[in-house]
Amino acid sequence: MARMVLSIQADRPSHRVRILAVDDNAPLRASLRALLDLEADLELVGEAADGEEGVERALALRPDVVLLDIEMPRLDGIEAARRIRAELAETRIIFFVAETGRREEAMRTGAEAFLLKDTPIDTILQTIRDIGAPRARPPTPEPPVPSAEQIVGVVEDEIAARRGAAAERDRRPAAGRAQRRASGRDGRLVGGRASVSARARGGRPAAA
Amino acid sequence: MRAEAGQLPRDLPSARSSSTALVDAGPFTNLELLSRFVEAVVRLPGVERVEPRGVERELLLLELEYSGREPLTEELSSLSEFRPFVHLGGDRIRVETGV
Repeated sequence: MARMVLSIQADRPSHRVRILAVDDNAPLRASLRALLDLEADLELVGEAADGEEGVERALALRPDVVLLDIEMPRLDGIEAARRIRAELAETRIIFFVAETGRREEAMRTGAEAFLLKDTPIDTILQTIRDIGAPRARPPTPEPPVPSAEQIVGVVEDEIAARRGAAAERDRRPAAGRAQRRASGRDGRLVGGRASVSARARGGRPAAA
Repeated sequence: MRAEAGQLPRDLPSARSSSTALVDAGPFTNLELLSRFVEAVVRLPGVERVEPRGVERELLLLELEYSGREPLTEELSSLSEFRPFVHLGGDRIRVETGV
């Protein structure tokens, strides 16, 4: 049972593109709905039958993508696109039209794509996916890859540093022992320590 | 009763009994052609409700309510624009389009 739940969660897409379809042709909207119903990563969140309603629904639903026809009653798709762009910077617009007549005017609204309705179905779906995908962050520059010579140099430096440190450790105890031997002979360090001890005990410093 | 173009009526008429049919149609290489087919089915006499259920591999699955006098297969065969070959397959009507 738990395995099944995990399997379902694994199949769920990490991001679903939310789509609003604006077209006065009801059979086309119904066909689009049927098409998107079976696509796990695409979701038709709303429909509108003219530009005016399209703007209202876009503002209410804040979809990732608006599929927008141009020739519609009340408000045409180009004016609707301008209004949507002015209010929703993150929403992308794909014109989905029967003919190419007003393509340049449409693309000047800031729309991302201009698709004809006789575009192959797979191309339509892929265009929606590409345009509706979360905006990628600008790529972080990769750190420069060091050359082989640089790597060898770094390793050699490291080895030399470690050898130097080891040699220093070896030298210090020997020097300390020699110093202690020398101090013992002349009594300066021993006497000094003894005098502190004697004072601490309340006695007199030992005679040198 | 005929469904209005551009409208997908959902209320069933009470005067004549209707039946639900599943129709597989295609292939449709683009959405314009597919929606024209849906619109043509909506206009057929006796079709009360049309509900596109899904599109997979260029095949459209339609669910519809039909209360016409003629068999639905005959009505679908009359959609000459799509050069249909209509036959029964399992629990549904299959419309192989030739466009």
